[in-house]
Amino acid sequence: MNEPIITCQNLNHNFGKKQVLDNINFSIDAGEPIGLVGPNGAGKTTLFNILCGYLHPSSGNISLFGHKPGATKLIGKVSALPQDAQLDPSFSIGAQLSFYAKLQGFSSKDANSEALRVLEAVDLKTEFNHKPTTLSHGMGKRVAIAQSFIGKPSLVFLDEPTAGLDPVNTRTIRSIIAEQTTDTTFIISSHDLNELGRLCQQVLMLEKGTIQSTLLDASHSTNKSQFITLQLESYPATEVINTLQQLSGVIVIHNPQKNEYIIEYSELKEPNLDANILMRLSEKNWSYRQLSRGKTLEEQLFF
Amino acid sequence: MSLSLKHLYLIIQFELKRLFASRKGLLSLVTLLAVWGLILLYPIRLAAKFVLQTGQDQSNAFTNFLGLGSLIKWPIIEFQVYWQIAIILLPLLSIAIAADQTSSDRKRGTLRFLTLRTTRDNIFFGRFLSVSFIQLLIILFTLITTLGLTLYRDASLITLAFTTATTILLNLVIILLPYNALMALLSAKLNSARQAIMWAILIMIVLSAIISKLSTYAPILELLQLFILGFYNADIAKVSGLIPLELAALPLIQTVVFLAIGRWIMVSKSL
Repeated sequence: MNEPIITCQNLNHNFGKKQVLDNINFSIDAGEPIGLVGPNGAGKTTLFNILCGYLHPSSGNISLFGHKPGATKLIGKVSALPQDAQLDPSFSIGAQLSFYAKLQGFSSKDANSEALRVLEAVDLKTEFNHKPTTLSHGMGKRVAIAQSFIGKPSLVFLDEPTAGLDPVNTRTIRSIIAEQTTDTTFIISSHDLNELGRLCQQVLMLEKGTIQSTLLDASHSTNKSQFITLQLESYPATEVINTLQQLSGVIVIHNPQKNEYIIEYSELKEPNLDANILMRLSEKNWSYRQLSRGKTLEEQLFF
Repeated sequence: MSLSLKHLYLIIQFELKRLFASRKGLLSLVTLLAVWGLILLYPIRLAAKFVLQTGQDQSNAFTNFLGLGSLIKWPIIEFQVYWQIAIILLPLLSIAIAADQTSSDRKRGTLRFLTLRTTRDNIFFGRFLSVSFIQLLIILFTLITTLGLTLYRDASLITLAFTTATTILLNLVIILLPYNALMALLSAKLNSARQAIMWAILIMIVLSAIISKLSTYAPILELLQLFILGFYNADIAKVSGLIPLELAALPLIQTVVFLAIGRWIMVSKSL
């Protein structure tokens, strides 16, 4: 059995008298991207900064591939997109990425090729000779992500990779991450649960400085009963619930927000409930926007 | 302490590119060259001409005015004037060029990219060595041009002029190292070059004045003056050869102490 790539034991961190992380324990294996979620002030960025070696914890043990964060043995193996960090405006993007590659052990010639490779991965190869100041916010974020790919690291921390980006750039970044997941394990901190739901199989949730839920599986229910999430056009909620409640296998229907219904049902009793729902909608001449198996990540984590 | 010679070399190389290959760096160089050209053409050349024509040495007027006293003469008049100007101006130049060793990179977050690839020790000492090396290049350039001016006047002085230039080079390196080290410390602690310069001035002038005042009441406090930058410059300025060990020890010890404190701040501070 492989050793976990991250092990965190009894981790505490205080800023003055305020305890930001309270006895955090978890371990993460290599594999699919893992989301780190939590409300503002939950300690996500603090945990990220400690994992990247930017911040020394007040107490506790952390190990990345068997080494302390920031250890020289982790150079080239662990990388990160720190929140709001920017490249030096005095140098071209290519010169800086090449310099980073040289520090990671590349020769001068290979360092240039590596800089071009990572820029190509984020579709910004043409910006090699440009200064960072010429880039838009979205392009700057992509370049910052590109630097984290130098040397094909095994583990990459991404702190709010899509914060402040428009939908097109968000989608581009999501695709870039998805393309790299075969060789790299990503730990992604984000408030965008839709984004995490699409990228991650597991989610680690921080709340009030503690791990509120251990590693969750976003795609499957943990109970014996199953869920279907249904989004409809605007129809009276009571009528919709009464209509769908009559279907065989349905246990209970929740209406967490307008036009969204979460149907809990017994798969043993009715394995084809999704097809039955569609038929009933057709009979009632109701249009639907989306029907998906399971609960949304937001519902799983917070409700 | 975790240092890598290869990483130190790469960091120094990159910082030299900042000076010689970036628009901002080149502009600073051109400005420096223009100012040095004026110093060379007027104070140094004219002072030498005046002394040689009249036989009167007024070259100490500048340092007398600044309170450094009458300086013992160096064997060549151009280097006598150079020494007097350098001992005043180069420490100020050091503070300016060494003020931003790590502060703006920390504020911008660039240090976070760097620490994924090298240790904080390498960054701290790499930047200090870069600044010291750039300063060495500037001193070398100014000395070589002064040497040229001297030989243009009298080519027979070549051996004496070369020995004098080498001695002055070594003296200036010893004098300037603690300034660079103090700026490395302040840069590791503060968030901008401007803050670092302000604190350097406060430490050198205000702290020095306070210690001087207090030491009149309690002479034991005079010992604290050993920690004041430039406290020894007045004595060193009077030297007409290589700085003797008893005078060189203090700036070298100050350099080590400032670097040790700065390194501790760099390693322990959050990025």
